[in-house]
Amino acid sequence: MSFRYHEIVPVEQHYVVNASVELQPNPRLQELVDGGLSIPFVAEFTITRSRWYWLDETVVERNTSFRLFYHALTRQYRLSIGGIHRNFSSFDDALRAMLTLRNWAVAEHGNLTDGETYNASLRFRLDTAQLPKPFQVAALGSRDLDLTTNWVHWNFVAQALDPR
Amino acid sequence: MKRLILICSAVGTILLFLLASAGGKTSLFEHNYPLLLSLNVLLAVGMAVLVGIQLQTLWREYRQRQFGSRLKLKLIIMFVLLAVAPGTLIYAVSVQFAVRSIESWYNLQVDSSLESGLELGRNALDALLNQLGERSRSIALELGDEGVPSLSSLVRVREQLDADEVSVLTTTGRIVATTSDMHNGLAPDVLPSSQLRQARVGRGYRAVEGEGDKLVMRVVVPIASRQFQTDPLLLQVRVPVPESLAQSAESIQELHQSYQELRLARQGLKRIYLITLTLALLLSMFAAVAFAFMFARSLSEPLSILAEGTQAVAAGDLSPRQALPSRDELGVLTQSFNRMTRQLLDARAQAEKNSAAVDAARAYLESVLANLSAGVLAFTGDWHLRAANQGALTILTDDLTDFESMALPDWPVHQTFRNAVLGGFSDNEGLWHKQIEIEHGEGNIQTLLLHGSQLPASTSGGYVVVFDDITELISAQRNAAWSEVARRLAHEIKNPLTPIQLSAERLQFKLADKLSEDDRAMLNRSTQTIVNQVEAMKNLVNGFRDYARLPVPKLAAVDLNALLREILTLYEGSSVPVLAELDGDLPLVLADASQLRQVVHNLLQNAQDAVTEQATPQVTVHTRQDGRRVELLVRDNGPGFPAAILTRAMEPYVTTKPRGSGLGLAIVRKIIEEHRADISIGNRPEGGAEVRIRLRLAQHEVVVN
Repeated sequence: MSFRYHEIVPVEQHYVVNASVELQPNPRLQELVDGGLSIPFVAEFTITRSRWYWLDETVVERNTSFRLFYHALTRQYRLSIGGIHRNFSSFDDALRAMLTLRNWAVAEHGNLTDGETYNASLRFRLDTAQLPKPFQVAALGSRDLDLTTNWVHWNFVAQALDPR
Repeated sequence: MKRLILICSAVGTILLFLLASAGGKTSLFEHNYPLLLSLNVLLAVGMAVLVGIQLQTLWREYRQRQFGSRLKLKLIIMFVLLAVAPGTLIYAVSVQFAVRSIESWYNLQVDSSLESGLELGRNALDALLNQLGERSRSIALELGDEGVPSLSSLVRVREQLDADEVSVLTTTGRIVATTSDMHNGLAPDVLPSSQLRQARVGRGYRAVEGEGDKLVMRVVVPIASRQFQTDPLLLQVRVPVPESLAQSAESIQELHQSYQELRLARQGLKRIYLITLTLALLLSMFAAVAFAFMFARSLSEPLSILAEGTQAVAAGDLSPRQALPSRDELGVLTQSFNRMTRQLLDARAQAEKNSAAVDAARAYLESVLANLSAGVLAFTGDWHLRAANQGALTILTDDLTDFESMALPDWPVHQTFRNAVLGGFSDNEGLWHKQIEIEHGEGNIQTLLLHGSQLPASTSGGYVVVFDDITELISAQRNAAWSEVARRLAHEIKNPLTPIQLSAERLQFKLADKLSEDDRAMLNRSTQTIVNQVEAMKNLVNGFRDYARLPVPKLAAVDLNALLREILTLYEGSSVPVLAELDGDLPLVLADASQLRQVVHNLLQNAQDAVTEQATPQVTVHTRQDGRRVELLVRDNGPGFPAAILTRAMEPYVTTKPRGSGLGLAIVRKIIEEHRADISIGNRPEGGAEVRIRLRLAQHEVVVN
């Protein structure tokens, strides 16, 4: 897994993250979802400010959990993001929807100082700790379930939108 | 090592327990399962390393054939077998059991019945959905007649269908009109435009959607309008599934999902059980082996101590060993071993003390025997020489080498002695005494006094002969006898001598005038002879008297050299010259000067008498210091002492001179003996006699006193 692109942009009140994750076709994953397993993913995001005199200050730390599962009764794939559910008729649609982060509000304008340079880090991964135990064990040595992007780091200068 | 093993075992037990309890659904460690697992694996590897180290140590000990390592190995193998065999059995049974039972959870029947239930739910929902779809279609037809449906008609439709929401949309997703019983002001949920386009044709879009935890049916059907419109309208109806049906269907769905999940997890579960069981086996096995080492060591340690102890005892080291404080049999064994060595030590010390005492006693006896002037010979019962002291060797003047190997009757030498001893023992029972004289040729006779005694049979029998060389003693007795004789003779003879002399002189005086010339001459000669002979006899008697009545010497420090020089002046101009070779650095000697003077006179007189017949007569006097004595040597180059009288030369009345009294040397010896000095006479190898006198130092005497 790797990020196709990632960015942090200021919108009206917030800074939002837009990113897209590229995932190779993974039949094992679909097999598990079709089999009825609820697959947890998590997107982790932090903003740090470097301090020359001490460890970097963590300004913002955000996690968003995803769950992808098959609802057999309605024959639909469901994606839960936080408390919100979305239904998809195909696995690929659901997966694509999950792998595309859009307008993820990560910070308010007040959190960041204008003109300051911050370091953003983003990662998207299968949350193995939330998997049932047997799958944790199975995931240990499995390449199919080693689903995690590396941390991507980039610097940005905080610049809130002009309120006008 | 011991502590490490204990800690490892405790930690392993805890970790295993956690691992096993993490198998439960709701556990603190559910999310840390991989961590827990890796910790366990790490521990197992650590214990394997521990066991490996111990095994290697043991193997090295075994290879070096260290004492106790075999027993240790045997014990360990036993322990390990005891621990591992049942463990492995339980492991195998458990694995089989777990795997089989996991398999048995999933059977086709449950699967298909769940599937059927789900299908039932789906069918029920589909029936509802179709019903809603048909009704919606007919309503859409009705609405189509109106053109653009009014909001009031939508509300009517909503109430008619008991719907949550009724909306009129364009195919692009724009909302034309909507009514909802939820007054939350939110815009209604709209399908993506692709699906909306599909909904335009056929029976429209029908689907049951999950919304949160409830199910909602959504139907989108085209509103067939008579008016031509570029953008045809769609009617969207969303009706919640009746609650009871929704719940039942949802519960079946959930059950199905968890069953499916379990089915998928089957492999993983098996793996978990396998791993947990294997880890448990490995940890317990390693712990068992490690503990086996500990126990084996604690069992074989006392043996090592004992082995060390026995080796030390064998090597003669009886120092106490470390004793095990334990109160079991092994501890008792080491303790009693220690007690044994202590007793051995005591016994050995006692034995050493005893043998030292015996040795000392024997050494004392031996030294007494050795320093005994008397000779002692011990024989075995069959007359083999068993022991001889120094005195015996000296008296017999023989080393008696190899005489132990021959019986007394076979002795090739000392025949007189041998015969006397054999005769003594054969003639007498028990103690006997005998005096024998041994001829050493040339008239040299040695007188021995033998005492024979038979040893009691209790001390293995045998014979002991004690003998003294009493030659000297006899000589002394003879001297004493001579002194007595001389004294009496002097007394008895001297008394009549003076009247005889006076009578003879008176006869001459009275008769000389009355006789003829011839007779007178004869009378004078006879009288003269009588007087002379009486005079000679007087001298002789005086000599005897002097010999018998030598005064006790008054010992004082004397300069021997000065005395000799004084004496030698008297011999200047005599027929035989006397040479003096005097040691210039001579200490004072302890002597009576006048008696010593007589000794020197006598010796010089003898020497001069001896050399009269020599072509170049020579007499020398030497003095020198010899250790703590001063030696005075008088030598001549005469014929020397005849061998026959050498041993008796100093006895009275022994002389080689035709007119000698035989008292010269006797007096010398008596004086020297009174001085507690030594005298010895002998013949020099180059010819001539030598008399050696060894006088004591005055200084030494003073110090002693």
